[in-house]
Amino acid sequence: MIIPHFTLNDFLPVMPVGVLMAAAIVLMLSEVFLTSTTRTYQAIIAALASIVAGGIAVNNAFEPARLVLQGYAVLDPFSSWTTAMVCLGTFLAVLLSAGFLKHRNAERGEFYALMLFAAAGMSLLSLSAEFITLFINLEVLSVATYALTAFLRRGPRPSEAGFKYFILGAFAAALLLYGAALIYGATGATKLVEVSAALPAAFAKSPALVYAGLGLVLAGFAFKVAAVPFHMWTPDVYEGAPTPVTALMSAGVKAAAFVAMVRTFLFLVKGIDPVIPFTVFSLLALLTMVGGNLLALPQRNVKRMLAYSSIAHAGYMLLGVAALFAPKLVEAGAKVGVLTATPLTGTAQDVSVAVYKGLLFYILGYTVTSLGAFGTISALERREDETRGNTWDLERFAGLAQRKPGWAAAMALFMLSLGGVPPTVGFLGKLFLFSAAVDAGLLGLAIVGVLSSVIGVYFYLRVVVYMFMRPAPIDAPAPFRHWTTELALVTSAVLVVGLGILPGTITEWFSRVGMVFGH
Amino acid sequence: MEKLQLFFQTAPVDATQAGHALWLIIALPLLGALISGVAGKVIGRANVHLVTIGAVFGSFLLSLLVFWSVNDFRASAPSPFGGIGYAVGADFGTWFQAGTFRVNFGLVVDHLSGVMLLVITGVGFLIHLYSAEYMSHDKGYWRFFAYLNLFIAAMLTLVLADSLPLLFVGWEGVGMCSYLLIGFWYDDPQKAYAGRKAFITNRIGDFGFLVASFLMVLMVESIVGLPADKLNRAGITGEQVSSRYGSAVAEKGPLAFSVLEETAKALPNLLDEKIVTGPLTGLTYELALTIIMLCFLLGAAGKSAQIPLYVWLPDAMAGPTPVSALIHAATMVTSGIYLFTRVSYLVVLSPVAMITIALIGATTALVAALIAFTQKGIKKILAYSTVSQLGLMFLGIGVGAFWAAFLHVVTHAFFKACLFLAAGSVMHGNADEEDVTKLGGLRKEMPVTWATFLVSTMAITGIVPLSGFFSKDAILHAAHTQHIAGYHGLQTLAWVMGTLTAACTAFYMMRAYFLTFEGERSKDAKTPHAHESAPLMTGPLVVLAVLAVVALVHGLPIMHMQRGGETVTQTLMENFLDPVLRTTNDLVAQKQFLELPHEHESMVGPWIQAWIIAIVSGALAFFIYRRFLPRGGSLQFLEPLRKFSFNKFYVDEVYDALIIKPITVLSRILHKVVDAVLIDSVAVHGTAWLTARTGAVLRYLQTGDAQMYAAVMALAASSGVVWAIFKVLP
Repeated sequence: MIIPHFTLNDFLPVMPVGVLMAAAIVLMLSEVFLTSTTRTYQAIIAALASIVAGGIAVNNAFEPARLVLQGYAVLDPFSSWTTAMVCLGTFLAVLLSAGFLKHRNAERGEFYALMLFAAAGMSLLSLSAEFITLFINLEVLSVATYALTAFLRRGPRPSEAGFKYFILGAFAAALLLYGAALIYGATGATKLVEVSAALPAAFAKSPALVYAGLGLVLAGFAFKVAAVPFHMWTPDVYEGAPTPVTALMSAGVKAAAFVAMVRTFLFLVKGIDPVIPFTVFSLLALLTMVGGNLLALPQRNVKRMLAYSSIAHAGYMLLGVAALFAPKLVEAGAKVGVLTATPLTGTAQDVSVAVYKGLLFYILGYTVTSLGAFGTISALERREDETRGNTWDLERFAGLAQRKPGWAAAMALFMLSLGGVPPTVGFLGKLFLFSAAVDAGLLGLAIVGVLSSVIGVYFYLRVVVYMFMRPAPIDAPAPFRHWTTELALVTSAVLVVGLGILPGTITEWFSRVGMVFGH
Repeated sequence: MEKLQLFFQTAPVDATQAGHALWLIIALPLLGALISGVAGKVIGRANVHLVTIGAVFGSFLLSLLVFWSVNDFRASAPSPFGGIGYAVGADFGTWFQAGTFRVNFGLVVDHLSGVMLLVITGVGFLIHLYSAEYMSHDKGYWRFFAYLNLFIAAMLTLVLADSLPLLFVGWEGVGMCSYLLIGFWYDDPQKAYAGRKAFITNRIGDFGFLVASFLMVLMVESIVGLPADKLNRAGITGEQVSSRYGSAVAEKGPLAFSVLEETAKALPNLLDEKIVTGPLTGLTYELALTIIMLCFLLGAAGKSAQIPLYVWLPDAMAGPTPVSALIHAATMVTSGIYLFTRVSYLVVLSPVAMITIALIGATTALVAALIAFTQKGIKKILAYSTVSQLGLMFLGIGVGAFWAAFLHVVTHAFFKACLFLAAGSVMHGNADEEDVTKLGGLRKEMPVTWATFLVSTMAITGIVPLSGFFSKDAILHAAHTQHIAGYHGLQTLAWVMGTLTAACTAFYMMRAYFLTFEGERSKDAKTPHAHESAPLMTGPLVVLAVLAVVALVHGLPIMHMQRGGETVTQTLMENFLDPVLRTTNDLVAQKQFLELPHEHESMVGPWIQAWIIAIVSGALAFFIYRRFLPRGGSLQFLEPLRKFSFNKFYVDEVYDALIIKPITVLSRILHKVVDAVLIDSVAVHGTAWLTARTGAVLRYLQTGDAQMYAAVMALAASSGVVWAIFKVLP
């Protein structure tokens, strides 16, 4: 048996995860040994842990990209930034949870521990470079979120959501695992680097096997990022889960899954016909952008609307991914099409750096915006309404501007950011992604994306209309206030505007060369 | 004497420094406008006066300093590009750029814009002072002074600009301020309407200006692309011209005046050639240039109130009187003349454009003078008189007497501003009575106003030796003696109309004077006794009246020049503007589109002529309005004519029927059919409806059934995989 020789360098990327895990264990133990009635300190521990982990991740982001842990994981800025943003999302979600749980008498150490485990899973997922590791990390993440979804076991909704999520998640995980198995069968390797090396030969020998494997792996990822038509669980689960958990899922889980998907496919497309992945990703982006926005349109339930909106945003990110896999050479006479690339713009230049920048910035922007939006919802919802099913109706927002002008302003800001209106971070994120797509020649798809985002403006602004232009109902209850919630909302609002106005340094960090290992 | 001359020719500041400080001249009133507009209500009336009047006065002092530097003989060394006589200026770098087209932000003062600077800030300062008293009862004082300062800033931008786009910024700025100030009392719908009318009419002109600028870019670019041998000029090879020209266009942009001047120098040999590149392909350069000049004429006609766009100016009298004096008499309305003098080198290359300008000017002058005969409002009379005088200036431009037209701009600024302010003083002292038939006998009650009004009236009628005579006579003299090649007959017509205008001017101005100041006080007067205005109002009047006399020195033929071996006598203004018009004069000599008289005739003939015209017309007015009709009105047999003139030849009605009504009907149809039905119902609401329906239908797929969700996923995954496999299977 060969005992591998690991150095500290190898453990550098997993150090944030270590911090998160340690804090999670401390929190679990605190439930056993401490019986204090106030438990806000648990939230503070979890928040501090995510800050420390995020700090380490930011520090890691300036390390050169390399393989670590014998090729089972990578250390590159792409994954380190993802970890940092996951930690940021966890930080905000934990703060939101403190008030939310206190209001429901459900503050428990396990909740925060599960959140931190989920965050650890997300971080690990973003740096996995081997199929089995990838699968296990995905499960770490998934199991934690299944449990979180059903954490508040009051009424049928949370259990239903948790159960659906579990069943369908297991199904998707099985698809991914089966796909990975097929690829192993074709190439005899599970490490992405080795798979990539063996793929051309395997493809020449048995293309169907490779295709089936790739397709199934993609289906597994598509489930996690909630791409249409693998999205159907999203609204039900997002609606049923405790709102802070929904916030974390919409931001962190998706970000990690996106990064893992991009990393995996960067290795897997080598040696196969480039048109196939490009067409598949374009199709997914098209369906997701249009479908997500169209489905959100008739919703009066704001939480459900945001769930569909998160699908639409995944569509915009998929547009970036499609740009990454756009064919480098396009014949000069190609016409503008929705699923094809055109030679209209600079296809000669390498757009991958712009895509990475766009993806990371979009994830960052979506994280802060979505956490803020779900956070506002979580502060407005009341336990008494949960059984009636109209907890999140638009009417809940009527006249919020008179009752709570600060909250209404913040929510308006988040809605504008989701709609992509300057000077918010949502606008810049869209700008970076769409311009990268246009540079890659995806003119038709980018136009569809912009048009579909116009649909989005309708339902985002409808919330603003309700808040500012409808009178408040007479029996409108005072929103539940907790300092952690307000801290989270202020942080999100400041970041939404701040990053929207001064994106300079961040985008510079995001667009350095050598962002992604092996590319 | 020589020491004095040397003193004026040695500026205390370095020319480069003066150039870099030019932006301050604009910035001061802009800052004043900002302070007054934002904080005017808070800081109070006195502070607003201090800030805004101080800002204009500061600009005036700076302008004096800059003007001094312009006259500095040490600074008048030829500039590196084409020997253009720009004395002081600075280029502040690229303003905007699109592809190869660029526009620099550059300010420049030469002899032409230097004079304009002094007129704008000097007269502007006096009118600010006057306004402080005139607007003393108005609550909106801070708004008024903010607009007034903003106007000064815009007008200064217009004259300081070294390129057409920047000039256009000022051009639009003065138009906007004019709109704001005409409609200053916006709660009176009629006044608000007058403001709108002025703005829209000006926009029509701006359209012409913009089209002209765009065509100019195309023409310049077509010349840049020409082979070098086409650009040969006397004393310089085509290669040199080509390279210098190309680099200048790349460096300054195609619309900088320095580039336009160089374009004009290149054009004489090209006029008959066809343009071979760009969208203008197929036109000859001469035709293209003529079109450009005619488009500029449309723009200038809008701003300077010429036929067919003069209708806004009489209505613009709805604004406060100081505004009429500053904007609608002294400065803004002369910007059309300024523009043509600025690009005079292009004007003289197109005889068609020249004769058109001359005819438009002469016709406007005569028509406006005839309308002024019967108007009752004192400001209306002065407004038509302004239109008429502007027409004379256009006549001067048209016949190539740029210096004369410009001299008339300057003298007109003094005496017309004085007339307007005096009219304002009359209104101020008579409870805002405007109707001349309801005034009368003010001579004793308002002595200062009376005296200044009389001096200015004599100046505008052209009594020797007041300034108005020299400028007007210079124009008419040029119209008589300088011939536009090929249009002798039409030009004689223009000259006759111009001379008739001079006669009419004397008549209607004396009429206004007699009815207002002489005779008995009218029974219909609003107040039994008028009161003389405060010193703050009469002071500017006196200064302007003095200037209206003193400005005559510019028209005296006292400069002796050595030209080609012989001594030529020039008037002061002609000599002063020589550096600006040098290229123009060279082009005239080269192309012979304009036949100049060989020798200067004696001035005595015109003097006597002018005397006779002024005195005969004035006497006629005296007899009619002092002896027969001391209270206005008209003679019985002339009544239809009077009515026709009083109703302004029914031009507004004609425009209404021919242009405004059809457009209104058309837009109504477009609104009802295209907008309401096609766009609103079908396109906008239809799309929204369709989108919402699609969303609602898709929603039914979301059943909440987990088995169904899984089935959809499985179906999607398998169809994707199957599709990919089928792609590779043979």
